[in-house]
Amino acid sequence: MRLAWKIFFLTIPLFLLSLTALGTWILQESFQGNLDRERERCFMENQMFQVSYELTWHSLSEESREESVKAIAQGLHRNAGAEAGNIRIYGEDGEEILYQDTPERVATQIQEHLTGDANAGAQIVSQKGRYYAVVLSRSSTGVWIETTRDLTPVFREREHLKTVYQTGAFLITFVMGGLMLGILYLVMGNTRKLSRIARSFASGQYQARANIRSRDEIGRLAEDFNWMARVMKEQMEQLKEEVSRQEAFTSAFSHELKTPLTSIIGYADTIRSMDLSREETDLSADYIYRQGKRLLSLSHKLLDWSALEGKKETFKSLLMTDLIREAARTRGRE
Amino acid sequence: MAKILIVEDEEPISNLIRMNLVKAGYQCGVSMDGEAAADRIQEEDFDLILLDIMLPGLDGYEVLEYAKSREIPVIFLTAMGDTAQKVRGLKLGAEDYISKPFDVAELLARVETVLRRCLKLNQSLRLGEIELFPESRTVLREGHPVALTPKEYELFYLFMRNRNRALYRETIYEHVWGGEYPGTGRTVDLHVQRLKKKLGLEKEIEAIYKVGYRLMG
Repeated sequence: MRLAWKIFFLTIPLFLLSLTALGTWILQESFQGNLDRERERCFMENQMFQVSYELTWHSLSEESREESVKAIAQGLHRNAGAEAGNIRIYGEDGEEILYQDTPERVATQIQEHLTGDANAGAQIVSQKGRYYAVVLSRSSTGVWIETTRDLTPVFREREHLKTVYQTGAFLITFVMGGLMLGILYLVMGNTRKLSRIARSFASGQYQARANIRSRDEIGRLAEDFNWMARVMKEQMEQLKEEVSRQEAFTSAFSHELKTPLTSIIGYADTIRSMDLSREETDLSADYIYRQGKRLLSLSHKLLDWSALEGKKETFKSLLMTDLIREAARTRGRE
Repeated sequence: MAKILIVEDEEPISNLIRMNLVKAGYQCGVSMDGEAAADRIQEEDFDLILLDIMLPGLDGYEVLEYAKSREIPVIFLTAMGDTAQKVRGLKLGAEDYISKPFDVAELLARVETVLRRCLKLNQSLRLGEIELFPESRTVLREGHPVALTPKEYELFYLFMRNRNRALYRETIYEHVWGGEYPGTGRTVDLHVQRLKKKLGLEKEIEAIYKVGYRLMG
């Protein structure tokens, strides 16, 4: 099982990690895009309002101007539609609120950062758990126009997507992991099977063959193993035959030795132990001599046999007439 | 004396056995194959059969069975180390076996033992006034028991079974003490001296120069 776990623990965490990294990057890009778009919109809103405001302002007479800030703003705001952000207009001091369409005010530091040339500034602020884009610009008419957009949905969406993605990622990883373990288990199952067959072959079951029919590398290995097993079994049987031939030979030879030896030892013992007549002594000595010769002949035969054992006999077919002619020539009769 | 049939196809060996048995005082017949042996057993009365178990023609085991059916004891000759042969022969009822190559003295000893056991004859071995009783392992001299140690008894028994035969120190040692003769040592000689004294056989047990002893008689 170890290899399977090794593979599993190498790939699955990597998989999960890369999935997470990818997801995070995509989400971040998307989020950033949304954020930028909202800010741009806020800025454009501010600009548009400013332009409309100034146009309207310049078209009005001096006297109507003061009261009209509110009226202009309201009018413009009504036309802007539901998607628009909130507008606030400050007086020339930057403090006095001349118009606002909502009492909720978002604290920003834009005003402090606006230097002489810059007439507009933007900031993204978080307040009471909500996010806002604020654009503050100074109109040529002297008032400050502040546009606020609620960005919270963008952030909320990001959180939501993050959650969805995480769940999805884990689910996918889980499924992948399960699948991978399943496949590995199947594959390893085959290797375990092969391992078992190999062991049983080694322990003497020379009939054992791996019954793995898959067409992959393991199947191929099993095929090769079976082939090897067959070859080994044949060789084993050949060797066994060889051994039993050797044993048969040895025992036959041993027997052939013992018979003459029995005579030699027996007669020699008789001669040395007993009082024998001249005739009996001669007879005994004769037997000893003959049986000794017999042993000698046996040893010669053994020598010849062992010389032949090493070499393979090569048979050639001859014509009978050639053989006879050759034999006659050798005998000098031709 | 007992009549023994030798069944052996190798002529030198059958002659060897016959020569030694005759010298030991037995009557002998020889058959060269199983058929001839069976015929002879049928025609004549034998007290013991010495049978080579590996015979050509009629199987040695069959001769054995036939002899058994005639209630004649059999000692069979077998190839050394062939346990299967030994077991089979003994199971078929042979009295004993001896492997080739054999020590002639040992063959004679077994023959004597089997004959004594089966025939109930020769209950004692006699030498002059001395009588040895193998059944009770006692020795009497002029009717009186002689105190012999176990080794001395075995030694005397060996001499008595191999009369007029030169017994070499190795042979004596192997039969009486068992195991291989150590080559040196005075054990054998000391025992022989004591035996001679106890039984008064100073003249009968003669020493053979350098090699052993012989009991004459």
